[in-house]
Amino acid sequence: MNSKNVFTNGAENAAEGGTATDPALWVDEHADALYRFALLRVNDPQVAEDLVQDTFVSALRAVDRYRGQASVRTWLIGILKHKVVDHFRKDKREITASDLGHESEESGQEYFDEKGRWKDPPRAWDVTPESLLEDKEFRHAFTNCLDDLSPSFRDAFTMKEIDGMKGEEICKVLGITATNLWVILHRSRTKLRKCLEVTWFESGE
Amino acid sequence: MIISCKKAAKLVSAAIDHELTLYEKIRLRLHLLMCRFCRRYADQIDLLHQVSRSIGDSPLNTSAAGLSPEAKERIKKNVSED
Repeated sequence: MNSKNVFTNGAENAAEGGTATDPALWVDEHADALYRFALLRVNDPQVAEDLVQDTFVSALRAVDRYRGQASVRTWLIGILKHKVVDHFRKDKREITASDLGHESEESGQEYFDEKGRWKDPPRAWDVTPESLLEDKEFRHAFTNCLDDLSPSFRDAFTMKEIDGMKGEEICKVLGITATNLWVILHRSRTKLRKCLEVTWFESGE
Repeated sequence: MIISCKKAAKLVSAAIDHELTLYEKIRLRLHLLMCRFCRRYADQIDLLHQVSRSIGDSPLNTSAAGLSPEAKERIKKNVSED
């Protein structure tokens, strides 16, 4: 197959300054960004690489339908997003009863005493979102704490908090009820907060 | 009835995901007025909520490692063979 023809025919009118006509150039320009996007979400370099490859393959096939309505990067990210969700769907692990706990225990015992009071109350953090986001070290701390979550919790948190997907859709992907999801998200948020407090906010940063 | 911090924390999280009942909203608000620890918790959860979204949307975090040159060649090869 002459992939150069496939590209020039489809992308002629949509190409950005003519650089978009060669798949190798697309890889050079966009693969790193796609890889980082995927890696943050799937937490596995090989899986991330496979998803990036699949994205380029799909993009090549769909290039006729690309009319320059968004930047090439945005378009590719859109394809990749679907592949990431498909991965979550296929990869969904058995969410066990112990993951969800009993009604009275949800995200409870480790953090609260028998009267429901904080065992170890939250400290004061003196930060704004902007100041945190500017700090590369914080991003590492954040992803490290994220990686501490169990895989299904991490997937749910990623879909909801990082990608802003609707609860209903997340439930379909993971095959869980809305109530299950809320329990998972509560536990994930609480654990993430605690992890960051210990590893970031209390370590003299 | 005054709700516990454990219950308040649960409602803080729930409020992000779905509409609380009026009853729950009032109880939570009263608790937060009186409890600085839970106020901190609520602020911090909100902070992380915003930060998570931004990390997801950000110009793809160029401080993180990208693909190796070998990986890119692999991809180019596999894509052109397809």
